Amino acid sequence: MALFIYGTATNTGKGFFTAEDRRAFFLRGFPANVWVVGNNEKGALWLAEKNGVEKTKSEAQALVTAEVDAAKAAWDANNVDGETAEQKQTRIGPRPTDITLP
Amino acid sequence: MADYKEIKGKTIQTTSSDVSDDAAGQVWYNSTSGTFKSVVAGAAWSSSAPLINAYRAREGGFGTQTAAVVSGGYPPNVAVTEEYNGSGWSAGNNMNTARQGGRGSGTQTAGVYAAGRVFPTPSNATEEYDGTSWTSVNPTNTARLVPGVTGSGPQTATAIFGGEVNPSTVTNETENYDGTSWTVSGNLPSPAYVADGLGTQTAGLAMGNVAAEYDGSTWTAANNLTTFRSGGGAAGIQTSGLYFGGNIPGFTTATENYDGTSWSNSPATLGTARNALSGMGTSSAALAAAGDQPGGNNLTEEYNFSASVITAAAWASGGNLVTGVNSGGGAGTQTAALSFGGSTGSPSGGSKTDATNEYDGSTWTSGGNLAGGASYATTGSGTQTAGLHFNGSDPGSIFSDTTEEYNGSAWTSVNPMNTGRQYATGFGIQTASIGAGGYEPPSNPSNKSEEYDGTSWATGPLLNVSAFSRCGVGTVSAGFVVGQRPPNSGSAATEDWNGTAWTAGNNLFYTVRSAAGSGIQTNAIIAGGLNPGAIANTARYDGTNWSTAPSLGEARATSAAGGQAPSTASIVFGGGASPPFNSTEEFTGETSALNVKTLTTS
Repeated sequence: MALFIYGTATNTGKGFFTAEDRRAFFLRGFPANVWVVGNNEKGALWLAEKNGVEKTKSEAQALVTAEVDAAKAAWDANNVDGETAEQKQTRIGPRPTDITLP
Repeated sequence: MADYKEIKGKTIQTTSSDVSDDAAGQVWYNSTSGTFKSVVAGAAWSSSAPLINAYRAREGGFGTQTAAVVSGGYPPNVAVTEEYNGSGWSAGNNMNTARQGGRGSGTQTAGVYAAGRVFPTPSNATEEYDGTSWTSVNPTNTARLVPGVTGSGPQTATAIFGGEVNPSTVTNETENYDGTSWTVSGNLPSPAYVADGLGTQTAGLAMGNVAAEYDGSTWTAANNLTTFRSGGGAAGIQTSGLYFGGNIPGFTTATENYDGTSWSNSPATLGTARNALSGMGTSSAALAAAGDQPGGNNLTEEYNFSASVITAAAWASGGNLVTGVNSGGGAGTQTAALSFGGSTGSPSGGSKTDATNEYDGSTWTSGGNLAGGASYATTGSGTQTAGLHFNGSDPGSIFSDTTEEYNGSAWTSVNPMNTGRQYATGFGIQTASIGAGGYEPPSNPSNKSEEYDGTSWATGPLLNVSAFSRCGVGTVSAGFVVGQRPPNSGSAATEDWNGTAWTAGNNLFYTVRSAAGSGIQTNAIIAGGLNPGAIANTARYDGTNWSTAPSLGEARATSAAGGQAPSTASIVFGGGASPPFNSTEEFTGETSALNVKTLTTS
């Protein structure tokens, strides 16, 4: 049995995931509104209650990768003449890194 | 029919509110609700902070629910040691012999760890732990993998039994340890691979693959578990034992109690089924750590049989910011937080903002804009109605000395810092804050600290290391900073502030930069950060040591925190990269409440 359920859901703010949810199942959010939850009854129920759309792991990974790639492209395109790599990082933060879903 | 007074020797009290003392079985009449009530003791497992190192099983553990040690494990041979303080794990020194499948007993400051396997060869190595370091001592007579152990025995009087001596041979041999050497003792009734045990050297118990009681020299057959299995965790003593998890086959959450004669199923079950885990503590306050899930895990669970219901700490989602933002400033508490400045665009820093948002515990609303314009890579301290904003990259300079005070509705420019900078950290209140480190002209990490007294900044002592993107928590008289850049992957370095000087503290157990924190120096929590990608880690600091804490729901860095929030009610908001998060997370610490039940006639 797979350890996790993958899906997309919009974080609506307070109450989107509760402390009780966190105690009941694994939960982790990723870019592109991708959520990975523990594969148990409560985890599955949570995703359904949040109007989540279940994805396969590869589908979820593709969504995350696309978001990260877009962020990388935006970072790469943002340059100031004469600026060092260190100065660029300090100006606009580090270049986004790849994310691998669990 | 006997009445309550005849049975208990006292009458039922009438009170206007429920009792607050821990007296299981006590009955009273609540005149407000018009009901009879009682405090009911019950058993339950609750999750706790994970171990630092993931994917380990067949580790050995010993100690209590509030002071435990696990060490060793696989894959394939692990020397790592971790200590548990009742709420989280911290790193200890490695064992001398990396191995899996050894067993431990004793206490966190006087433990012994024996046998196991230095894959693929069974080991007879024995080491003693003094709370800090491991010392190799006399080995067991027979090298063996996964023996049983009388885990509640002290370092100076414990026993191991059974186990695998080679891939085709399982032993029934028992050895007693006296704090110096191992002596062969009476044999188990039958050989046992993955022997499980509990108790002491003179009152031990084996269960699972063999069921027997031990008196220090002789084993006597005993009743076995109600559900046959092995590889579970065990805690307690021969007359009051606890066994949990294991492999039936099929990993289980089942928990059983031993009363000195027989096993019975507990209504409490582990939250996560697992095998080859560590069990520590007593039958009323036990600890389950790590184990196979499958694939290995680093989960921790606490078992309690008490009149109190213990609820584990956890992060939950809070209200969303009006606009996602990162590298902004934060202040306040979980129910009265302040977010200001930062970047709302992509990439980070691409669209700086002067916006301020106020949080009431559920909703963010717009507040007064920063007086000096948009500010990125800035820092905050104080409260929602008396906040402080200093340093950053703003319209006047990318190394800004700007300082502004917030009164709950508007920002006012006040005397600037002595050294303009960005990515400094800070902590304190509006009239007494520390600003430390940062990135200063022309392009240098800074070791400068300054102290604000509500009117002006005074130059303070230098930090030991020049760096920026630190996380700071505390007051002008007691604080700390942790994590930093350089390097880009972050640092584990901690520096403590005592009001007059910065000194190196114990390292965090992971590297990080751009984390967010709150609390006080002796009871703080930090969350998220970069190392180099965003992480969901959180950690507690007690002023001396770091320990694990429950993870965030989202990996986030360059977020801000309500720095005045206590560590049990922390809040982080914003952060992320592209686009910035608008989400908030709120932390609720572990709570304990009496299990009060209303008595009915049905």
